[in-house]
Amino acid sequence: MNAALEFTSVWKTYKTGKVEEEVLRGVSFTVERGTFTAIVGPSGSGKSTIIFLAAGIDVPTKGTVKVLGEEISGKGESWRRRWRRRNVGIVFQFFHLVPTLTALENVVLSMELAGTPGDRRARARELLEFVGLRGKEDKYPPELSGGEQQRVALARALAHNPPLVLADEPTANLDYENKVRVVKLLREAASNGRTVVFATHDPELARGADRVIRILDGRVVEA
Amino acid sequence: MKIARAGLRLVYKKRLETIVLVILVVLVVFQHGFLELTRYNVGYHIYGQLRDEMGDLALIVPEADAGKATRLLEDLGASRVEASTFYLVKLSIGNKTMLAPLITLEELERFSAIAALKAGTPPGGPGEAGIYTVVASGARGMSLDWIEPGMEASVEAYTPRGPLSMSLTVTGVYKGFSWVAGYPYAVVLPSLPDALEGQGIVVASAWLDQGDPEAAAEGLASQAKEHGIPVYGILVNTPEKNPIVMLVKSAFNLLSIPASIMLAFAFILPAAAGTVSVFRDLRSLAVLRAMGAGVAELSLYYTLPWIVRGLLGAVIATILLALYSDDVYFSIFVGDSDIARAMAEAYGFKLDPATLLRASLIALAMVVAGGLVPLAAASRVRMVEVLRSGEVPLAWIPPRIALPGPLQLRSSLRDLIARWWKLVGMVLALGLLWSVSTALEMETGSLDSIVEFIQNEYPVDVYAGFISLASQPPEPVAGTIQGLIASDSRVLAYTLYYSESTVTDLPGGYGRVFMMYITVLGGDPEVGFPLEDGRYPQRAGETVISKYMASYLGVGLGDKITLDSPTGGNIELTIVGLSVSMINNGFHALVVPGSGIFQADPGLREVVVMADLVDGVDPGEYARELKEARLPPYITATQVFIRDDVVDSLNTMTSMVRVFYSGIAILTAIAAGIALSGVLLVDASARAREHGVLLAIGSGRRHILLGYIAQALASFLIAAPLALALGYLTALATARGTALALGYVPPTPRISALASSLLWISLIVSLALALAAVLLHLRRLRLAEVLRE
Repeated sequence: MNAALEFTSVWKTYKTGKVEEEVLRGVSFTVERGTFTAIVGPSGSGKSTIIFLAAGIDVPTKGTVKVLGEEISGKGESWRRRWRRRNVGIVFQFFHLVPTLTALENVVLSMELAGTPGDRRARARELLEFVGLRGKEDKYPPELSGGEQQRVALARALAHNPPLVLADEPTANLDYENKVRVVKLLREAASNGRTVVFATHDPELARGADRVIRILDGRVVEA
Repeated sequence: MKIARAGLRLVYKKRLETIVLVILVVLVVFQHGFLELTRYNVGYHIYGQLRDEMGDLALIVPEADAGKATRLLEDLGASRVEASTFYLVKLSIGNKTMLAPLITLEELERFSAIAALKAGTPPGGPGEAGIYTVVASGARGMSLDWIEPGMEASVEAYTPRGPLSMSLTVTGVYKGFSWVAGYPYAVVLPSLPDALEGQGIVVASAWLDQGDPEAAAEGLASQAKEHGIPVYGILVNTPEKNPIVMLVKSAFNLLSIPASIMLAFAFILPAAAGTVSVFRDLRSLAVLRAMGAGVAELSLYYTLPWIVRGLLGAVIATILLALYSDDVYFSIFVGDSDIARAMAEAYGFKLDPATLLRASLIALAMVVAGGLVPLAAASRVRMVEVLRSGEVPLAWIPPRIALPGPLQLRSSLRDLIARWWKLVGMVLALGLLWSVSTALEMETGSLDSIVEFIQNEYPVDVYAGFISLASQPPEPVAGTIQGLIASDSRVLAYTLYYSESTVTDLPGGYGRVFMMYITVLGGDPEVGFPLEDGRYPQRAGETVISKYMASYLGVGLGDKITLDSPTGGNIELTIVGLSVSMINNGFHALVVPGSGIFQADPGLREVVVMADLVDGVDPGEYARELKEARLPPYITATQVFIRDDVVDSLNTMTSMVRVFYSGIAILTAIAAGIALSGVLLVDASARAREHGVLLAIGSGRRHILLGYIAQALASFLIAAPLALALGYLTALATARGTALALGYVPPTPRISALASSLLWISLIVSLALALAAVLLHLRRLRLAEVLRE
């Protein structure tokens, strides 16, 4: 019951045209609750797929994925979406903010979707201050730098106070200073029993993690 | 060259787009081209046949002056001159009585060289008759298709020795294309009773091997007068002056309007599908641009495939038109008609190269214009931002207005401003669609107001036309009829007038129209031609025209207009008054007797009365009495009808216009629906990643769709004034486009027109189709793939 993530013999195959590509080949691992875990591997090794499966964005071809005690791999898309909006915060490699919402509104959006009670705008301001974006609340994403956008994305992922935060290469498009900053923020987010799992190809960044899971060619080589 | 090859490969790779566009272009071009070719050929066939029968120039004179008229035409240098004689009689058959020309079998052959016996046998002996009808005489109440061999008929004619009455049995029914002396039917006898001799009217026709018939006709009326010949009419036969050819062309103009609208499809498909592909291949496009590809190279990829597809469609359509348009013409327009077949075979089917290529070239130009839209979108893509983020950058940063409601709704509304092209596309599509329905409401509303005017304000209760059966009546018809009407206590007021028509070029290049010249001979002109402004004409060179015609020509009181005279040559008239009469669809001019416009003495043989009856008098009863009134034997009523008949006929016309407009509205709804789907699909493709993120953070497809619905509703609000303006302009253009055939009724701008039920049905249907396309796109969206890219 203490596992936040439980992958059991997970296979994932993608079909592009007539070509089938096995991205995950019988992956099994467990991530404990309240830990800060890094999934490390080179490009194309299957890190993002693990993040997407853990978020319920995708489902495995074979095997089971259990998250926060729920086996989500067998559930329908609509159930997974409702579950995700309450339990998961996600940070993407390309920030993926809604371009027509301000930084503050992007953060409020995830609370609105999750139905988070309380003063959402005040919490959003707090979170933006936490990620160092005080004074940038009313800026639209195209008016922010890459590092700033990624920090807004992190604030958005934390806003509805999810027990699990997943980040897919959150530092890939950032300069060194911002990389360190974002990882530090992720580390801080993994307090109070929250589980944070992030995927990266950079072993350097994984050093600060409680645990490192190494992936190569769709297989776990170190857990 | 590699890019060109890649572009050309798309023609095969995206086969569905190729097939759809080629089929579309073929359908549109074939339809449009076929109508154009048919218009050309029908006009050419009719003109050819009429020239064979009527010549280039014809004089209509009393039988007694046939010799003099023939000599006058010969003096013009005509290569051939022929005279045909007919006698006006009152024909009673079934329960109908009508005025008809009486001709011999020999004359029938001359009038209509390819008239065919459709049923029965030719009349052979005394008491036997044939009935000739024109193939196209299908107008309300004019069709004589119900006449069959074996029916009994009676004919009343006038001779100097008194009335002549004949009982006849119809033995044969003839069909042909030519009108006989201005009538769409004729009574055909094997030979004429001697008593009629000298009472006929002669159509003396001349064929000119060289020279312009119009120039030859100039001064003919005055020359005839110098020779003591009373001229009842001059017919000039050129394709431009031929009233039947003119009518056919107007009819085809109306038919080709929907086909022209369909040409717009050739623009919409490349524009929408091409732009969708720009956003789908955004990253590759940015890479291409990063590699140095400029507009020229991009056009090879984004426009060339559409040009190739359009060319393919245009070539196939042109070949099909060249090969099969005559077959389609024969199967649709000729059908089982021996006469039409004879006419088409006699004159041949002409593939006029200009007509053949016009539709193909227009469609191709539309495809090229459509193909420029994705090119414009591709060349505006901001390379650096796309390469950095993989997303379509916003065109504008939206204003920081905190709208109320959920954030996704706020985002959707801001998105409309941030991606202005979507707003413009949606507003244009909605505005276009809306404008057609709005135009329909405005235009039919104006027609309804005319009906209302005739019903409630126009004073005329009864209209009656009278004509002399004798070619030279002992007394002018006008005097006799005025005596009859003026002495009737049931008549409150009346207008007695004489009219003559000709085809004239309207000033300012506004087209050709049947122009009716009217002179009021008795009674009060205010009854039939109530003045809105000015006064009635008092001398030659002055005129009153209808306010509708004035509005169409953009002229007013004091302006001078130059028109063709029925006697040949031009006449300049100064407008001294504007009336509200819709006689001859409003294309009429009131002039005074002796103004040099009329060929015969006004009122000698023909006259029309419009009467305002005393309250309480039944117009129907009065009209019946007028028809049966005791008149001298040489006068007969041509037609008598009442206000309700006019209102019925106007209502029929309004219904026809409504049906025609509805057809156009449906086509526009389809075009706008496709355009809307295209705009929304382009947008959905451009925002695929954003939708993916929204779904990933827990938003539903329903929420995204609601965003699009909100955008559509916002676009509606912006489209409304545009629709109103466009609708007014469309109604104005349509009113002007159909003015020569239906009369010019300027539309009334009305905001209430926006609430047309037709509009809402078509709007909802097209919007539902567009939103369904977005929903399908969202359903097909593979979340993991979109987020991974």
